[in-house]
Amino acid sequence: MSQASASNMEVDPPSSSGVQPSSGGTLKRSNSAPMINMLVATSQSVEVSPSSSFKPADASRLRRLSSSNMGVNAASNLPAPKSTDRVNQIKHEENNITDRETQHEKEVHYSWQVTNSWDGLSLATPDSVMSESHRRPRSFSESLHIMTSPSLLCGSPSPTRIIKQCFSPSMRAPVKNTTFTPSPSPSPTRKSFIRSLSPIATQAPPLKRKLESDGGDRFDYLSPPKKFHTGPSTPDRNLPHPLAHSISSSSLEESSPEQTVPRSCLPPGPHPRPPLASHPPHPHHHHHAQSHSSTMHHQHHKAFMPVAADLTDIHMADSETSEFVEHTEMSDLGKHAIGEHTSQGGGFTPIHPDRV
Amino acid sequence: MAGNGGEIQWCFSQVKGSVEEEVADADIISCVEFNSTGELLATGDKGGRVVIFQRDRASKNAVPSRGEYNVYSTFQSHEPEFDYLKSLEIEEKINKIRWLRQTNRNHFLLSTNDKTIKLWKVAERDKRPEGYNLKDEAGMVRDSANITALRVPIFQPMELMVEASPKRVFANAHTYHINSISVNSDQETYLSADDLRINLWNLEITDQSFNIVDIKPANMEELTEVITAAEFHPQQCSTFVYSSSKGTIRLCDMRDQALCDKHAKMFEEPEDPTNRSFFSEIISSISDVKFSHNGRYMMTRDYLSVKVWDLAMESRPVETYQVHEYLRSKLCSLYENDCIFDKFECSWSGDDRHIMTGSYNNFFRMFDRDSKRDSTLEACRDITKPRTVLKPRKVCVGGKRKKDEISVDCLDFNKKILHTGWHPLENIIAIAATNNLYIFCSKD
Repeated sequence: MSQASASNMEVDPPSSSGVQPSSGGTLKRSNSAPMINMLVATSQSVEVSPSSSFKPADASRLRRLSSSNMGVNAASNLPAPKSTDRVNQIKHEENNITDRETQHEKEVHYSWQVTNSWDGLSLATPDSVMSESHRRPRSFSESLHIMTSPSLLCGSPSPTRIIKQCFSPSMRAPVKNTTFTPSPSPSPTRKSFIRSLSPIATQAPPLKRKLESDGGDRFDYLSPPKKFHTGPSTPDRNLPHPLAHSISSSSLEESSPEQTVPRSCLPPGPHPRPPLASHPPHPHHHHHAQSHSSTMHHQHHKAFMPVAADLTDIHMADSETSEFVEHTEMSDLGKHAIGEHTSQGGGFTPIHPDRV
Repeated sequence: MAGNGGEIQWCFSQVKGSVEEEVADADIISCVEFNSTGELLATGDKGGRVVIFQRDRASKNAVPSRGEYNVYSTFQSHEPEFDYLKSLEIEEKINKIRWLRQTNRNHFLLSTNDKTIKLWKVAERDKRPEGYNLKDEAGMVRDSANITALRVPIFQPMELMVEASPKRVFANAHTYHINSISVNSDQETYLSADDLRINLWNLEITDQSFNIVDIKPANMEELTEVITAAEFHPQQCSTFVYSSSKGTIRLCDMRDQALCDKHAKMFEEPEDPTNRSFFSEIISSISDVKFSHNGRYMMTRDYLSVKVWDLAMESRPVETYQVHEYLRSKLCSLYENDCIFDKFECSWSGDDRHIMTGSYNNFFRMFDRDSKRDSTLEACRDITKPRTVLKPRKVCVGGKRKKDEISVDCLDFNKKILHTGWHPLENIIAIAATNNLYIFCSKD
């Protein structure tokens, strides 16, 4: 019997999730690419970027590419096959591996270019936001780097670091596992560590926000408990799953009020959603039988996310923030997909690339 | 159970999920699975979360018994990942959940995304130790001056907590996207299938798996079909089937050879020449294959129909049911909006007498194999009175539309029911409609 086919993986062309059955996946990549390319194209004229390998030939090709419909397939000569026909999809991917890798290399390279080009820019930020926010260590003109979640860094979570996810059916909410560890502070054997990120190595295309990587500054506005959890869901995510919201025929019979559990409050990431203004920052508690749990819930919410509670009000005023994504452990249960984190943790107003 | 021989009359029982104009992508339910007793119902969503519902005891014991489920546990099963080697994102969407048969107090399930399968243990905890000697209730260290006597902690009851912990992570064995997992009847091994390969795992061993089917051609240009679904036989531990995008099902016996590339049986229905079109091959692609509970039949779902096959007969199915034949003339526009590639699942009833599958516009189809009657029902929130029997819906094709009918052009193709589950012992069904989970039970 053969061993696991993992040994074939370097040789075998992979299946690309960039050209996915879900058109959303394709859309994600094509959304980010033109922006970066257009940015670099414009910055080229400003002549901000350093020399190195950015040749004029690349720039013109860049301009040509940016005007067309961007996507992973744009780089190749073949027309993109119907994304959901699996056979053709696999064939197409096999034939265009180098193209895809080149494309990815370019994206990373351009992102790095953009990162460096921020140095020459300065922005006038609304002072009110800045003063009210938490101590924001750096200003906008500092270099920004690509940030991904820790789980992305370590690949699949280590099974040895088993973290139990506990749920209380009566409260309909995840709870912190305190059965055997009634200590309010994390175990002394656990180290808080800060990962250093190489800005080149990590790129998640839907992410438009880049954060600084050197030094511990970027974590100042993020909740502390995040740092020692790198596995799957942490107790910080103690908002109820949408499916906890239930309507039963029995409740209709007794004509009791609808059983609602606080809906997840955090607005999701960038794309389809309207900005924060249309979503309340806190869960709306419909108090009745669940009021007790709701209240406890709310306290949980506050207990684990002290920073967010203060900042959500600020973000209500700023309708631009939803465009940006920033990884934070405070994002709720559903928002782990790359690019779908709220900007709640930040104490600053992010820059919109279009505004530059 | 409907032992009366009559048609099942379905009533609304519950709907889970919220009503929203814009559904968050992460909330879309991507799989639904009852466990072997029907006590638990697990759903997975695109955000990588698993929600487990438990049968409500009160409703179960009520007369007439109601099918009501409450949230039992929620956990994040998979996270989005990035494959640096290939510069690809790995989605966290849960593709399949399969339960293991319960052997002790704990429940185990396998959940998988495109690349990684995880074995989760779901355990209850209703007691906790209290009264530590050196720490007080808040966990702070007690002042040693106050400690005058030895205090041994004892277990005190506490509010029920359900813990989910990953027990095994089976990773790095699939180059392509995993589309199926199936637990063997021996409850020790399971298979995972991606587009071109099927691997056999032992539940205890995570760093090794056997490749049992490999349909990857030496030259990728010759690739004509992919594996779309695979399942183990419910009783025979050496038999499994896998379906392809060309509409064939192959049954393999693992006792035959180590590598089951050569099938023991191949089930294929000869194509109907009158219906041949440009889309024939696409709509013949099988999206789901399920063995019946008694192990004698299997059911396959292609785009327009559901077919029941007798395992003893390879030449053609014994029963064919049209799900939404009215779409045959619309295949062109369905190809344009990608709906033609939707992968519908199908379910057997516990007694194998009924089969169910989903359609568009939040419709789902029920077929009674004995009486050959079929009905179309809708999963919607307009429930006027409880215990009302669901009214059958009808789709009209031609010009004259009768009063309650809906015309084909008015169907909402974004409201598709891809995932359904049927309680293994009772007539309770779970229907996933985008981000909502509907539970219906039979009237009696």
